[in-house]
Parts: sequence; structure tokens; C-alpha cells
Amino acid sequence: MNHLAATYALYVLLAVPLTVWVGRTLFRNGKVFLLDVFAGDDDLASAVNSLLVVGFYLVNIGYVLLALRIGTQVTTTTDAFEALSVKLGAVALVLGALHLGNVYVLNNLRRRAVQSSRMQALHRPPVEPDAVWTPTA
Amino acid sequence: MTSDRAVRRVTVLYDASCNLCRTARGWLERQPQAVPIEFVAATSPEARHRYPFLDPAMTLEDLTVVGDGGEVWVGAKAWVVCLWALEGRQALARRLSSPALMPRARSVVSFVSRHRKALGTYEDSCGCTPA
Repeated sequence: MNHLAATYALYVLLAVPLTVWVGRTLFRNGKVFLLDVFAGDDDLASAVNSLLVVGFYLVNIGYVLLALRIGTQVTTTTDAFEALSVKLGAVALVLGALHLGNVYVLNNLRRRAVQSSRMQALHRPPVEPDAVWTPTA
Repeated sequence: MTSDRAVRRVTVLYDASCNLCRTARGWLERQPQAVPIEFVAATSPEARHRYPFLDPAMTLEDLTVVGDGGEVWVGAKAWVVCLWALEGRQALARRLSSPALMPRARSVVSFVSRHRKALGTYEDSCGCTPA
């Protein structure tokens, strides 16, 4: 196996587990947010969580595969490491951006849910009355 | 005392002989209201008739707000409720009601209330002071 093929193999072997690890982190921790958004509806939260993670995997693995090709000459081990680091660095940045984007979206959903529950509280003034007069028959 | 019942209407009992209070009433009336606000002069026969459980002298001393469910707010709390009843001022009312700001609001309201005769003109012509 020449250097280029070895670099490709190593790239896929590192990038895919990295994607899976980030995806699993998102899956594990995203559940809490989604449960909050969907007011404790476990089934709905799990479904949305799975769908989000599948989308995340597809986008990332798609990127990893599309970015596989190395345009420069890879003839020495040094070349191979340089090419690999550039590729993996790009994958890490894309993963990071997507992951942060996901967290941002989840948090926005959650905030909206919190706000609408505040709207419910708006039906009563924020201060408790000094007294309540209840008419006696 | 705490209930989850929504407050749908509030009635403000204000000192009609105080110019400052009438100005405040006018301002409140011109604002878009999220919850309808009704104004009744404190110690007026109508106020006595509608809220026999309230002490007229007390409602004259401090701004009093009565909710449609019999809730009574007095002083600074009454002001917070007035703000809360206005469209777009609910966030302000919520902020004012926080533990950090409520004591300050209370002292400002109480200061203005105590000096309202000096801060504006005051007339007894409406005959609404308690007999």
C-alpha cells in the first residue's frame, strides 16, 4: 500500500469514529433539552433526538467522504501526516460548527418553550395580592 | 391566598382630589391595555358600594387595585399590577417585582404617595375625602 492509500485509510478510520463520538454526545445530552421543549413527552423527545442525530451523521459522513481526495503529492510519511492533519482538522472544524449549531437550535427551542410558559404566568400579576376578598353567601 | 386564577379585569381606586393622581390616571387610560383597567375614585359612593370590605381611609392613603377575583393590592404592588395590565409593560412589571427592585419601588411609591399633596395641586372640591 503506497503512502496515499494509507493516508486515505487512516483518514476514514479516524474521521468516522470522531463523527460517531460527537453524534453520540449530541444524542446523549440533546435529550434533556428536547424533553424540556416537549414538556416531558419522552416519545416525542426521543424521536426528534434520533432524527436530529441521523441528519447530523449524514451531513458529516457526507462531508468526510467528499473531502477524501488529497490534491497534493503524498510520497513520504511526512507528506502523509501533513495531508492527514489538514483533512482531520477540517473535519473537526465542520463537526464543531455543526455541533454548536445544533446546541444553538436546541437551546432556542427550549427558550421558546420557557417563554410560552411565562406567557401563561402573564395571566396573573407578578406580585401576590395583599389580601383576597372572597364573597360569603 | 395564592391561586392560579387568571386576573381578567382590575379596578384602580385612586385619590381623585390629587392632581398628580389624576394625571397618572390619565396616562394609564391612554396606554394600550392588555387587561382592562377601570378607575373609581377612592371613597366615592361607588367604591364603597362595590368594595364594602375595603377601608375608605386606607384606599385614600395608598393606591389600591382590586382584581375581578377579589384580590387586593396596595401601594407599590398596586403600581406593579397597573403596569402589568398595560400592553407591552409586563416585562417591566415583572422586573420591578423582583426581590432586588421591589423594596426600592416600595420606597419610591411611598415617598411620592406621602408627598403627593406637595408635588401637585390638591383640591378637596370633589367631596370625596372621608367624612
